[in-house]
Amino acid sequence: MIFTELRFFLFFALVFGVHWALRGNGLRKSWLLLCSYVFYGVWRWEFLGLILLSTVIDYFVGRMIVRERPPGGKRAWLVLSLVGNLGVLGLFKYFDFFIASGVELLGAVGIETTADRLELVLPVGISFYTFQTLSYTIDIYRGNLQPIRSFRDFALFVAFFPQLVAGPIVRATQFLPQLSTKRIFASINFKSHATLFLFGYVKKACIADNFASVVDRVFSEPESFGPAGLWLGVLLYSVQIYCDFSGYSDMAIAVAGMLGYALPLNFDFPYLASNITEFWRRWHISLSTWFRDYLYIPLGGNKLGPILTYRNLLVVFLLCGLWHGASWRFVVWGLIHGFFLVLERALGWRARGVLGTLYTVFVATVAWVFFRAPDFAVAMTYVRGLFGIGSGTEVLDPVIWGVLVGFILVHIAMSSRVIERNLERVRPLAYSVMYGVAWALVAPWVSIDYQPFIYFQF
Amino acid sequence: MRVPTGTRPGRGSLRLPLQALIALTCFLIVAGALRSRLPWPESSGFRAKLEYFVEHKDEFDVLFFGSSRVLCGVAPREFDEELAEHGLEVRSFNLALGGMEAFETDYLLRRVLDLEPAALRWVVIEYTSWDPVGGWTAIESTNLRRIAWHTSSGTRDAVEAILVARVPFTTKLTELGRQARFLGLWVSNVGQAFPALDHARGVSRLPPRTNPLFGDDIPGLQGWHPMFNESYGRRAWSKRVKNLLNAGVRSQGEKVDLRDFPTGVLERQVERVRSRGMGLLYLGLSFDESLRAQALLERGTLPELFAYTSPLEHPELYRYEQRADVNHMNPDGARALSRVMAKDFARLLEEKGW
Repeated sequence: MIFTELRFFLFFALVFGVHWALRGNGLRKSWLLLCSYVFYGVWRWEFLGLILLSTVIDYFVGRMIVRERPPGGKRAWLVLSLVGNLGVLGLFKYFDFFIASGVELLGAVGIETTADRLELVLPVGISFYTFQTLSYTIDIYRGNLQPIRSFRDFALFVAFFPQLVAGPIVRATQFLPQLSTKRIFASINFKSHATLFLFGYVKKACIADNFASVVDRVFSEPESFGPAGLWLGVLLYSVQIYCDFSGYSDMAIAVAGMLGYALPLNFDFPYLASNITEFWRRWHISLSTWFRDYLYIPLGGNKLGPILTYRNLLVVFLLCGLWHGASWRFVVWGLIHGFFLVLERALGWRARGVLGTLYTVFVATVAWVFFRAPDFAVAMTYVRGLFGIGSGTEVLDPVIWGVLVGFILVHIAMSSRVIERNLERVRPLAYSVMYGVAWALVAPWVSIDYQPFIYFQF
Repeated sequence: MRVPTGTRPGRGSLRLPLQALIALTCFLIVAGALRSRLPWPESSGFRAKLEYFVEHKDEFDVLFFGSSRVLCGVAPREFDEELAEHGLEVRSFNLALGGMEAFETDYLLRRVLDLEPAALRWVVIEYTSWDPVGGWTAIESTNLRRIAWHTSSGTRDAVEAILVARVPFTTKLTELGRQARFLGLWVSNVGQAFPALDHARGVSRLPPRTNPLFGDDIPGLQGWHPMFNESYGRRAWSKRVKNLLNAGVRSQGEKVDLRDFPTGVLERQVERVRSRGMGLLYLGLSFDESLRAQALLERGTLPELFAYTSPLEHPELYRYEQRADVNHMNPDGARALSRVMAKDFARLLEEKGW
């Protein structure tokens, strides 16, 4: 079930109605937990076992860490959590990749060998909830968080359906305190949440899904296209992936908000950043801050001198790339970003203004080629073509350039928060009318073939 | 967009449902207004054919509805000429389209009747399966043609058929969910913007093979189009005919259970045509549906039925040279079928005194 499907609207209407009809906080949380498992189980109920496994391990590890007095004992429990969570993630997501890479590596040094692949189905959202539960045990280990008593509350933290399958990655310190107090219906700003959901829906269903067919065409045969077509193709992909993922995040925040829970902001107009460092403060914020707090800083951050800082940055972005997918393409994508972060830090260079934005978009866009291309060879063909080293001549309909420019202008206008500033002034009746009319005008632009969210695969 | 973190003063809990209701009402009104301006679905030449018909709607006395069996099997010019030889002046039009099953046919019939074609006296409908669970309607693919017939009445008919269908409860639930989804897509006009823009710009997305649908001479062909011309082995065809004969013999006297048939849906279709003072005739062209069609005729649900599903009764329609493939006539076959049908039609008119 995805947020843009009709059945989700029906599902949410039921969840919402019963949630607010129930009086007790405990009952509401139990209801949300049940609904979260149903939401996930509709996709594949078998994989609910993995979520439960992760939940059980981290719930007990969290409790055991505080019981242990010697630091070695605490560390052992933390290691159990890391091994358990990352083991499951590694098995489902990376096992085949490392096996195939190992076989290739051995082949390269003259040792021919074969190995069977597991070819397991990747459970949706495993990368998200694994990082979420890890944040819980690590925060307890660091003394930043007390373990939660209620197993149900912890299970709801892990499985809360609005952010279960594609984030934002919610920290235990952000979410668990919200579970301890009853949500107040009257305190919720439904107008803002409803508007946010509509915006997210438009981004995903009207922009990302419609751009997808053009992007797919260009990436399926980049050798046929000339530089203009290839630039347009990858710029459209830049918009597609942004609208796809930030649209999901918007909807997740809105859905959670309507149930009374606040989720962290995940995107903040990243393509308007002035440099790559700033880009990563605005793109997938919950992931970049997770890596910052749980990897970059423990590695020493920027406190150990320039060389080790650069190493730390590269390690973080290599793993950030791998988090997105078990492929060398993602590693290269991560390293491109890591390289430019190192460059910006080494040169002390911070581009500003329009020039900086153009630089950011240029780097991010070229890097997306490795993210989107089906394999490394296609990615290289694509990059060569972008810079005129290709034989293709095909171009795309010039109207698409117009659509892209239109999107950029709207994006810039939205960054001025004009809607947020004016929303509160709109009277409830006028808002209801406008909201209904807006949905009627939006729906025809939705593709009839539902496209899954790109980040589901991660 | 950032969501304000501040809270708002408490409001009555009834205000939200009321606002939601207002928003929903506005949505339905605007969506309905938009829908009334949408073009016909373009796929399979649906729009081209309908637009041609709308332009010439008052010229035809007889309309044929149905699937590709009718599309390939009925040549209106032959039908008209044969009737003329019997002293009956009619002009017919073949409104059949590939893949058109009973629910979609019913939708098309409603739209055509709403146009109030001035000369229309006879409606001829191919009897196809009303099974929304196992038929074409159950195919997963979503397209604008499939969405188009999921109007409130079309969906109600499909739901009625699902409820009486003899399938497991879980299958019923799945199918009901599918129908609800299609109704939702219809209500909200999902996926309609780009086809409407294309239509406004005069751009066609149809593959060249089916565009134009009618060939070069639209009025002459009157909607008839030889879809297939592929080879089918003579031996394989002889075997098929033999099997049909055997099956026909085996099925004699067989009792057909109609408890899982959505009788009400069919009765409403019959009433819809009759209430406009038009004659209604069903065509049986599929052996798989022939027993059920016969049973419905015997029960009086179908007013008239011309069945051409038996090689024993109509050997002239089962010659190898007349087929494009197992299910479809080639142009020679279409001429033969149209002539046979016209003779039966003339006889019926005489019998009924119409």
